[in-house]
Amino acid sequence: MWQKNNRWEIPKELQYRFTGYLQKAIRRGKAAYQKKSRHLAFHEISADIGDMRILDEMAPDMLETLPILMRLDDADLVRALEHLEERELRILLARVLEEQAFEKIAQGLGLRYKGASAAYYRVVQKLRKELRGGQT
Amino acid sequence: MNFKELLIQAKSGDKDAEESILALYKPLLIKESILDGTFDEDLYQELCITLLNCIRKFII
Repeated sequence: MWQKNNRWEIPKELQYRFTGYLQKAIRRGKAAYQKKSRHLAFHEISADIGDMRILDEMAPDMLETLPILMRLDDADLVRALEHLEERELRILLARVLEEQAFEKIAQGLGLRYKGASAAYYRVVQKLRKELRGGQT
Repeated sequence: MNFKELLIQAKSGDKDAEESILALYKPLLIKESILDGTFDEDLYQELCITLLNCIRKFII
C-alpha cells in the first residue's frame, strides 16, 4: 500500500485522500436524504385541496357535511342546478338522492302521483337542456 | 496555491478558500445531486453542507 501511494506526487496525495473522504460523506448524506424523502412521501398528505380524489379517500365524512352544491365537481352541472327553482331542486333531490317514491314526494308537496312524476321529468328535461346548452 | 494550503486556510475559516474548494468540487456535487435523471436542488444544498462539514472534520 505504501509503495502504491509513494508513486503519486506528494502534494496531490492529500487531495486524493480528501476526495475519497468527501465521496464517502456524500454517499452517506445522499442515502440519508433519500431515506428522508421516501419517509416524507409515504407519511405526508398532499396539501392540494383541489384534488378531490384524495378528499374522497381520506375523509368521506367531511364531504357529507358540505352543502350539496359544493360537493359536486362538475361546474356545468352546478350551474344548471343553480338555475332551477327551489321547488324543482327539492323534487329532483328527493327522487335522485333520497330515492323517495313519487307518492311520498307528491304528499310532501300536496300533489298527486302524476303531478309529482311529471314535475320530476320536467326538471330532468330542463337540466338536460341546460347541460347541452353549456357544452356547445 | 496548492490544495494543502487551500485546505488549511479553509479549515481556519477563510471564506475565499472555502469557496475555491466548493468550486473545485462543484461538478462532483452536481453529478451526485441528480436523482432519477433530474437535478435535485435540495440534495445539492445538502451535499454543499456535507462538503463544508468535511473541510472542517478532515484531518490533514
